[in-house]
Amino acid sequence: MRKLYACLRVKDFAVAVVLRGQRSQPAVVFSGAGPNVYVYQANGAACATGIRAGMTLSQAQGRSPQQILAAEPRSEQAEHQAQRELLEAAQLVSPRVEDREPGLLIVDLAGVPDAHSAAAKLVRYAAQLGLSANAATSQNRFAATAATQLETGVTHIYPGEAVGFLQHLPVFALPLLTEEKRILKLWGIRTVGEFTRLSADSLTARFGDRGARLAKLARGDDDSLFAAWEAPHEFEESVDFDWQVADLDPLSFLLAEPLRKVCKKLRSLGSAAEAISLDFKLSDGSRATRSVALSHPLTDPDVLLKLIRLELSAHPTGKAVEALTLAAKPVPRRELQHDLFSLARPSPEKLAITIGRLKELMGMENVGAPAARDTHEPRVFSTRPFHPGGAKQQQIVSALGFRCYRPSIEAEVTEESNQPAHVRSRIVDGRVRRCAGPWRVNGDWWLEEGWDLAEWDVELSKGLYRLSCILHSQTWRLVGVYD
Amino acid sequence: MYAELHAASAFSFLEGASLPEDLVGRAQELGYEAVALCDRDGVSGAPRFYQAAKAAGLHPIIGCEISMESERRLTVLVENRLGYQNLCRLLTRMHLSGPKGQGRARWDDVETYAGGLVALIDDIRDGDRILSIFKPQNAYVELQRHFRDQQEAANQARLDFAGHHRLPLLAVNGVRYARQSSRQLFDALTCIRHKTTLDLAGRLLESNAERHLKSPVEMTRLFRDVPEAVQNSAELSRRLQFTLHDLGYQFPRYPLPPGEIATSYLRQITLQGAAERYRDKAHQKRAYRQIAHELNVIQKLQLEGYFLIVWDITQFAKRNNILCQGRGSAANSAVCYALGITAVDSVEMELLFERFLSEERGEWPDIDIDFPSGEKREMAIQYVYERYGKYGAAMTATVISYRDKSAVREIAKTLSFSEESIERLSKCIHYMDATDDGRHTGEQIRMAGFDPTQSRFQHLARLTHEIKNLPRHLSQHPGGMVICQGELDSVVPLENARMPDRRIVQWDKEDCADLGIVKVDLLGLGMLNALEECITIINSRGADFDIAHVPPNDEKTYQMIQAADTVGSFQIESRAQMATLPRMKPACFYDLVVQVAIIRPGPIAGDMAHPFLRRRLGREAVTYPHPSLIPVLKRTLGVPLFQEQLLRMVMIAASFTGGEAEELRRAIGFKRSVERMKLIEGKLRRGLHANGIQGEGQEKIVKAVTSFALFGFPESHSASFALIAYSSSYLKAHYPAAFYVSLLNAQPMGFYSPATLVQDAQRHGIRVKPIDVAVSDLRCRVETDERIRIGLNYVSGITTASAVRIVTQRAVRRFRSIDDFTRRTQLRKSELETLAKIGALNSLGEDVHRRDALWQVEKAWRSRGPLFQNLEEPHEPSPLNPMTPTERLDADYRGAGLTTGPHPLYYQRAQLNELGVVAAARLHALDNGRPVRVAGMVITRQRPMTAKGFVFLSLEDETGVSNVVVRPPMFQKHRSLWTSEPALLIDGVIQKQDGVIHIRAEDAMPLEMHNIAPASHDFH
Repeated sequence: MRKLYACLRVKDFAVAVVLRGQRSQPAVVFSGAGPNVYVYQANGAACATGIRAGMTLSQAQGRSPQQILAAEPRSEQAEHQAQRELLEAAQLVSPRVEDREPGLLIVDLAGVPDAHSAAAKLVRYAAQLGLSANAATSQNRFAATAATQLETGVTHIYPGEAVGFLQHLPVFALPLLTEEKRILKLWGIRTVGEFTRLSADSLTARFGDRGARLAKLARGDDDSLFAAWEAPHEFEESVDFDWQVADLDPLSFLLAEPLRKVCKKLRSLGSAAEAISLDFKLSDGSRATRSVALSHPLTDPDVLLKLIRLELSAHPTGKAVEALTLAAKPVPRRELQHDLFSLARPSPEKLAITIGRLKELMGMENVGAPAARDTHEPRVFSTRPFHPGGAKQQQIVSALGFRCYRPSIEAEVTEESNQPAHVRSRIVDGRVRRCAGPWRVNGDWWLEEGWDLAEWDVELSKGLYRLSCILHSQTWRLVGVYD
Repeated sequence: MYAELHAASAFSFLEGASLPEDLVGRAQELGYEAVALCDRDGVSGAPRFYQAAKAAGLHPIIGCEISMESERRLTVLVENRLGYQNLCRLLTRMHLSGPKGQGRARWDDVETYAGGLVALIDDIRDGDRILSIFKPQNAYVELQRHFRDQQEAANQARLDFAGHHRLPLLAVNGVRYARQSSRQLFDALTCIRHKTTLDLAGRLLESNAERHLKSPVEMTRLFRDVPEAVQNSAELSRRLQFTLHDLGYQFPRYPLPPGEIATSYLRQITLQGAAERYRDKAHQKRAYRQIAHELNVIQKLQLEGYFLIVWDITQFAKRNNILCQGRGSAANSAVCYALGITAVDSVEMELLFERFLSEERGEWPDIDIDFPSGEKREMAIQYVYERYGKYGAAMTATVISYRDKSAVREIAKTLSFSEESIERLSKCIHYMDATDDGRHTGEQIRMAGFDPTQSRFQHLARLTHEIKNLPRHLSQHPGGMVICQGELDSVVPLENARMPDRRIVQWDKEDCADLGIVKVDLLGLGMLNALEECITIINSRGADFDIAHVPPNDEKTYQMIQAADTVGSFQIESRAQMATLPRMKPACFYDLVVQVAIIRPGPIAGDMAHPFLRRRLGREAVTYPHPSLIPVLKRTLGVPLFQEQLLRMVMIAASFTGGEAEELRRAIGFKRSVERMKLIEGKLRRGLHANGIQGEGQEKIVKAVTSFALFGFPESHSASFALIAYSSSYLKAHYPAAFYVSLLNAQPMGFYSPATLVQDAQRHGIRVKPIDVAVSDLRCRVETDERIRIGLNYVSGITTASAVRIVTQRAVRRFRSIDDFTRRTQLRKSELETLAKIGALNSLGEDVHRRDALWQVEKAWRSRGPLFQNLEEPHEPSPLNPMTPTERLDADYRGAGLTTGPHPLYYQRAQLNELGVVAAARLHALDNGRPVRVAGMVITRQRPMTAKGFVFLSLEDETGVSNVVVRPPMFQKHRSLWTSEPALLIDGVIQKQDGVIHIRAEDAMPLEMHNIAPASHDFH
């Protein structure tokens, strides 16, 4: 059977994905944050005004003062999703599709009836996804790929035409390494045709094996393997209910079966769930999503169900549920062996449930292992994911303990001679017998959220406390007590 | 009352955010009577601190924070001269104990050098040791309070320690910046020091902004529980009486032959030299009278040793065939001329000896000696080190401060800007902006494509402004050396320079001068390298040329100079010089002396240059500001041009004494002169008025004096340089092949790039042969009187070792092919490619062109394995097309920085003619005021500070150079075009005056040169 391939290319893919349907308008996607924001990709209309990748966003915006420049942050997730959609759409034409690079794919048309209309179909499918694309057909994949770069719309390179088509291509259309490009430029080789005048032997002597392959490619002989794309496994189950479910218990009952199926599939492929996401269709037509992040990958449906229940009781949907989709984020499953000499630790499942319960009570962001922050700002810390047996125990020697009030307690302070003289708060009230301070501490002046405090240690009738005055607002807080 | 006895300035290098002057200024505002400067590991800031404190009426106390082997710091204060000397010795030993910046002081050394010092105990872990070394009467326990709770706990331990040992307490604030607002800059410096950013620095930063100079009232309140700590600061400040006025410096004594004293020996060798110098000279008697007078002054000032030491250095140079010449004010001295230190006959030129030395001033003289730069100069420097010992001589320092680009880069890094952003920002800090008024950093941020209203950019702009001119680190001065009797390390600490075998003092030249430390400048002059080599080449080809006996008044030489054919001639080759030479028409040596001086900002800004030229051309009457000044100004046609003339003017017209005239001279010479000049101007006017000089005459004299404040030239210096200018021009006129070869081998130097020198050589009929691995030497060489060969030293990216291998292998056996060449020389691929691209391999085969060579190189350099390694590959014809002429040009400029082929514009002449472009050589035929179109490669750009924003460009085409003037509005409108484009096509108007042709630019556009972009020399 004669080979025939179609190539589909969405130009300026990163821009096209984010700004679908805005091809004629100058548009860029940018990356970076703060002062370091740069143009990642610019579409043709933007390039025509002189905008280039690598410019700062301000520079780019300054280049097209007469026209409005559409600018959006780059979304790798959207690119991944769009590529997936393109590949799935291409599989409607042929099951053998090669994922070349973002925005570029090759379709094997062998056995496809009316292969020449396949290219137009691919372009149509892309358009339905809001993406403008070029397509080309040829027996030579390289020629087809190059044609989608140089030509607009649908191009057909008929048998016997590929070599002639390739001759006029710029030599950089070949898949050259940077060093090879440099050398060819030194040699004055500008086109693929000029490149074909170099013998394969001489190219091999200079570029090694790659030289021989490039020579073949330039002559229209593309013998590289076709790597067909396979859709990744999905661990997802959907259920439509016969009636609306408003309570958690019946909902949990209905979740059990899809959860069991997902877990079975995970185990069969050697995977475990790193997170579970739930998408609910509600009685009023709206949708709600919930997710459960797991501290440890799991495949036990009972444990997962308990965690889902905890999540739903902490964050109920608010309305009855008509349908749901449950999806697991897979990760490779690891078997753990316990050490004979190490202390027994809680099982990952029990630990996950416990942490889940804590998060339900305290809030997602308030559960984890405490980590000191490298700052002078007093009493601040951050949390990191908790792993048992992680940190070493440190011996802390202190003459006096200090208990932080979290949150700190509002206080009214009367001053005399620039010192606190009287304190009133909801937990303690009275005259200051003695005080030490002020302890001045300020920082992060280069950020919007800089801080500036003056703190005092005050002795009241009930004990020794610390007061903190936020200087820019002149508000006082009781921040802790000495133990 | 309170005295701050522990303050650090920016001379703690990234540990202090204020200059010493700012600390003093703030201390004065706060009513202090004394301040101690305790910089880290040095006294670099001490001279400036001392001068500022003296002017402000504060008592300046010297101290230091010394980095100890325990990784903690010891702070000491100097009580007396012994203490200061000990501190210097201790710091010297500390710095010389390791590579630059890594030395640590040992406790043993502290013990040796503790005398005369008072120690401040901060860390009580070292308390007992400090106490045992310094004893209780010389130790204080230091208390600092910065409103930090943990600090108070440590203070309690200090109080306990002091109580236990009955030691006095001392309240200090550990000052790091003068004002509280400088805390942010201090944080930025901390980040720079730790190579981190503000976002990541965490607890490396200070927890608050309390380390500034505080008022005595504040300090009293802060230490109200221990009032004696504050009182002790005042008492201690009164005890510490040493100041830098009392350094105890002595110039070394010269080792004399047995039976001689310095006076007699100096007289003897001077007269020996004079006999040679003044033989058969008409002014011989006058010369001997002058010598006698000068020797008398030298004897009275007891400076014989200085002259003998400098003479000794020049004798070393002579013994080792090193060309050297004294410059500067030393050329005013007949004794220096007789001794062979200088080459200018000061008697014949009637120069002013008192400019160099006078009894009144009581200062050391200043002799600068030019050597060929490079290893010959290094030999002289090492000779001085060896002669005076490890601690007897050192180079002076140069303070490297933050400038525009470095300031932006460093601050931007601390604010977490990406490398790309930093590159953009620093590119927009253009060198030409240094002369712009009102150009703000905010504008530059906008030019870089950012939004200056964003808060990080606002911080960037502010901190960049604050960090500018703060010292970054000490480097060594190129040539200043200080020498001391006994040990220099008892006067100022020494430390290792980055260069091996070099030691530097911690003070720069001006600090040394301010404190009366004698120095000798051993400077490197690229032109002397060129002259040396040129003479060697000439004599190797059968001549007997001696630089000391260059025929004076050579007609051919002066004709060449008058025609401004001076590319390569020392000091008279710049665009501005070339624009003046046809008007000035130097015809004798003194004319050259004037020519060298006249193109300087002083005479230009002082409106002296143009009046002189007009008078010389007979277009203006010769007048004098005052009849009393005729003898002074006669030979410059009534216009003061030289510093010596100004000194004589103020001495005559304003009755300045020699000392006052000297004060004027010092104010003229140093970069801190602007403020001092204002004081002197008042004194000058009073003196002029007292002598009846008022109105316009007074204004003229005052203007001439004040305009010389920054850049005026001494006549003696002009004369020294004019000698070299004449010698170099003579060699160009008579030995052009040797001249161009020596210039090309001495690069980088001079005003023009090697590419322009080659073009000039070709215009003078010299054939310049390209680099060829079959025949080129390591350096350029003369092949015949009309032909020179470019050397392998011009191959971009080739190492010296590779070039040596080429020459060595070629000497064994000639190269048979590119394959043979590659195997035997083992060059890197990049080197082989460059040689191929520039055509240097073309002779290694038949009909080999550059692409052919590249084709062969790509195969030849790959390893073939041991079996085939020694087999020579048969040559196969290459399938590649030869390079076009444009491609060859591009390869030449990229690979060698020059071309020996036709000028790039040669290939475009036909198209340029169609566009109406006039070649440079034809401009002389056009009338003044006529519109004209010119084109060329930009070989120089200048924007002199005195030019009021005008920009001067030189465009080169295949026929010569045309000079373009760009007015400020046009420059601002197309800044990028004028500053960045390598080639331009310009529409303008011819301006012809006195044989000088300029084009006044009206419009311009880039000239496409197909990526051929040799570098222009840009100046401002």
